[in-house]
Amino acid sequence: MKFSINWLKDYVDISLSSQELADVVSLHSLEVEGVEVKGDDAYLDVALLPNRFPDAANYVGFAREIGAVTGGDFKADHFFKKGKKLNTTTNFSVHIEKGEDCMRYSGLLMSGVEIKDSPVWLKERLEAGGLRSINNIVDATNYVMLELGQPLHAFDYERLDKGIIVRRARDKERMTTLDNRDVELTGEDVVIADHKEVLAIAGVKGGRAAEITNTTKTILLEAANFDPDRVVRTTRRIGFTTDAFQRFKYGIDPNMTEIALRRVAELIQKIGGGKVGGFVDAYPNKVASKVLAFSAKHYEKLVGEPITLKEARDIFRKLQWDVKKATKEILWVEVPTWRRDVERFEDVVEEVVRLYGYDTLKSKTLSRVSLHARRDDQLHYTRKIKERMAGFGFDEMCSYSFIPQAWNEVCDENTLVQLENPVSAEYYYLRPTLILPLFRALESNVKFFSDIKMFEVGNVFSREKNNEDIVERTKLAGMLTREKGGDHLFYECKGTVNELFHTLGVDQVEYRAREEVWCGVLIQSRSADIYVSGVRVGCLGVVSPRWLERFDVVHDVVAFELDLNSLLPLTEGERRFVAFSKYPEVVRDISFVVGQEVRISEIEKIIGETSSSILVAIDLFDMFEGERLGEGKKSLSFHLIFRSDQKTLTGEEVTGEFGKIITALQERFDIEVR
Amino acid sequence: MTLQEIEQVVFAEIGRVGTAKELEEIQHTYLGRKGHLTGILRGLSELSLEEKRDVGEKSNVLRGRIETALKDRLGELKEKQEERFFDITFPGKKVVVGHLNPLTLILKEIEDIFISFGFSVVEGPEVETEFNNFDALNIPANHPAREMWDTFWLKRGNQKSERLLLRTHTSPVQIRYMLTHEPPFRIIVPGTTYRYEATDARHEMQFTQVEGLVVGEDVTLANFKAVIEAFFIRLFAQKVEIRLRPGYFPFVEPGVEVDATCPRCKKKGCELCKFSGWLELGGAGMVHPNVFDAVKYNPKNVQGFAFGIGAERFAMIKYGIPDIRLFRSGDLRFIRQF
Ligand SMILES: [Zn+2]
Repeated sequence: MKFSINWLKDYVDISLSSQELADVVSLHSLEVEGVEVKGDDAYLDVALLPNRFPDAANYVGFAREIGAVTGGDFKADHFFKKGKKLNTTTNFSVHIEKGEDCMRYSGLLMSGVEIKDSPVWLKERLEAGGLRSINNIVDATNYVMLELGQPLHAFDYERLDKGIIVRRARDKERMTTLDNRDVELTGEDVVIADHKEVLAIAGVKGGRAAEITNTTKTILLEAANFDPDRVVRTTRRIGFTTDAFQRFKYGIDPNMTEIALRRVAELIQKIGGGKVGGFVDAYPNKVASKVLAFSAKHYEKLVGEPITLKEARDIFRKLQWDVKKATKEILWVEVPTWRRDVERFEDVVEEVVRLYGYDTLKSKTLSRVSLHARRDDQLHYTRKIKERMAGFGFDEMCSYSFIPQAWNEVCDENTLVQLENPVSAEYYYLRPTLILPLFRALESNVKFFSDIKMFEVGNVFSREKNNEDIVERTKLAGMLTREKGGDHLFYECKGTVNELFHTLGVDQVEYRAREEVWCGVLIQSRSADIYVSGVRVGCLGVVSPRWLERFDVVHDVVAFELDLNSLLPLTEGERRFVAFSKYPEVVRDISFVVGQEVRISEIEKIIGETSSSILVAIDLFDMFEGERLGEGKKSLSFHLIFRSDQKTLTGEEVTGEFGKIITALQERFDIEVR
Repeated sequence: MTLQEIEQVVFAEIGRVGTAKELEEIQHTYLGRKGHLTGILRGLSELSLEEKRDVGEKSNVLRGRIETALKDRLGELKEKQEERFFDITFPGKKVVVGHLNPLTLILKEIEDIFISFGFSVVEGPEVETEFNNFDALNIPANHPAREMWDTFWLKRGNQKSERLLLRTHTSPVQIRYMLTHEPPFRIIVPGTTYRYEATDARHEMQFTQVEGLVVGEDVTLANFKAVIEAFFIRLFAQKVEIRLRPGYFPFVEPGVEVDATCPRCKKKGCELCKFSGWLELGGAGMVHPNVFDAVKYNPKNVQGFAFGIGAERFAMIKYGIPDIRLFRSGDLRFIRQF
């Protein structure tokens, strides 16, 4: 809320410059977000959070706060002094149907008022408060709302049918607002009505029915206190709010109604004449001030800095809180009802520490060393993976967790997690995989780069079918593309994944043909499921050109994703040293032609099964296909590496072993040794 | 030739040669099987035992010196051959390495500082219950303070089941942690959080928060001040002043806003701090007793502080990043700078 300093000076002495004032207020009270100088006045833009809105979102309340933090004299006490008793003998009546809807309803009649334009000073002040001038009566009510924080409303008394009833609206009951909105109400809305029709929506807006007109002579001034929840629900449903509503929303001190009515009556007499008539007050459960205990010992225990009761007492005086009782250790302070946010000891501590000044608080090192004898594995591995992926040349992405609505075609919609309130169709579902958001990055980068390797570690979300539960898992995904990628790109990606597994101490890795189509973006025949120790931990595959078309990506793209929640429990964590053999290794090469459909894994399996323990490694080092080999054939070349831990192998031993392998391959695959 | 004679000529000879082949010849002439030095050793049999030892030792020393001189000269000749035009300004061969997102970099810095202070790093899910994200943190359903967090809600088929949301802060992990652990402890909780709001250079709908929580018998606000001060000084690698101001977060009381002197202008005022000399760096306070109640701790026996800071904000300050949206832009021109 913006406060004019000149106006504030009506209620509190201010000797500081506007900037000095802003600084002091920010350090001890409320955050001043800006100072704006306008002519001979300056405005403070004050951030009012829900805790202080009820007491400080008005001139007098904020002036009181300024008085507390600057020591300036507060000059608006007179508003709160009990004045002459108001005349309660009137035949006018107020009835509240449901006590919980309206804590208090006060009405004050004034007769013989003259409706006219407001004086210039009033118009100017309303303008400073961001409100439009209407006529002197309405302006006076708005002025007092800015001044004291209590919303007020004025009705034309002569147009009222008998008395006021605060009740629930009837279903489909209608009302036309002062600004000519036609609103349909429900039984959930609280309204102010006479015996005939709805006059106002409680806490939100007045209606046309008993509107002040130029001929109005007698007015009913309303100051009420409505249930914030209900007011909030009503505005949410009808779709508009008002300044009055903003105040009701955060709750108002119910003891303000009479104070505000006296003030507005005084003002109206000044600018519109008239005579104060009867006062009606429906206030079944009076709200009294709380008395809270303040202990200096407990204060020090919480804050870490001592305070004397004398200093605390001085602070309570600045706040205008009365000390009701005092012992050697405890002050019993009465918290005024306007401070609805102060409910317990800790709240009082905050008042004392902020006014005493956080700047006087000395830093104190935490006393005991906390040893935590546990490594956070998730953090440890995530860091290791990220650093290793960057080492492999992959750039790290942090994508949004949202994917476009249009991408549901490549997902199973039944498993997608949908937002109730997406910001747009572009950020509609939660990502079920990290691979999808990487396409967004791919699309924006292919304009500038042709060689792209990227990865991300993050969470993905899915809904279990036929189940309400949302499953959240942490994944690692990678994606690479390059001009002339070809099949090689797949194997490069696979090599990266294998090396990552090595880093993590994972050995039992297996690539199996995919069993189900996943996410519609990988080509099924060119993708694999990755298993570690028999557990499926992820997938790897070539992205379908059909999917790439929409991103204008023309080169091959390969992607993989690993489920870190499944993978990390299977990791050894670190490698263990294996002693070198003292004896030399013998390498024999074998090249042969075999049917194209024969998988490398099948050949390796036969070699492994045939040979004894002296075969320590099989290494495919060449493969080609070509016309001269014949249709459906390919040529493969392997290094076979033999070694013993016990002795130097003889030529005969190796040749014998080598021969067995060739025979087995010939029998099984009908190979043609080159 | 005597040892003396050899010594007098051989080094000069080595110095004069111009090719490797000539060096080989010298080696042959002096050190070879029929070379001069070998000849001297062969003639030793005619000498007395004492003389033998003396000459033998001297000739071995000389042999060593000649061998070294030969190697040095060979090296010189080779180096001379290499003397040709060489362009040291020719570009270095590019090494392809990946780059970590600055968010990862800043988080690692933040985490490591707190780990060194004895904090544990704890994580939690991004999809949360309404209870953990709000109610347990002293923000009940109809409390007007709820509006401080614009929330992404998740659709659920069954209206009756508990409402789920994308966490608006990592504070719900406080609740999860306290429900399963006993004090004393000190933790930080880094993680992705969400706000339903329009994005601009300073606002994001998805961002990263680091929350801290320290609970014990006698943890005070003054302790918080010490921790946060030490943290800023370590992070910015310079002396930084801390300022606490009143703030409001329903899960703490008293609640404070934490400002630090601007590390760029050192309090003189600059664009970064909007010429105030101070930067708003987070919120904090003493854990509200209602939060302890929610996790079944007895507020009479425990107390502690909690704080929250934004990782992107620190990365923007430290690395001079002007727009918060760059972190999640996926733009390689951005990521490859780090
Ligand atoms: Zn600065």
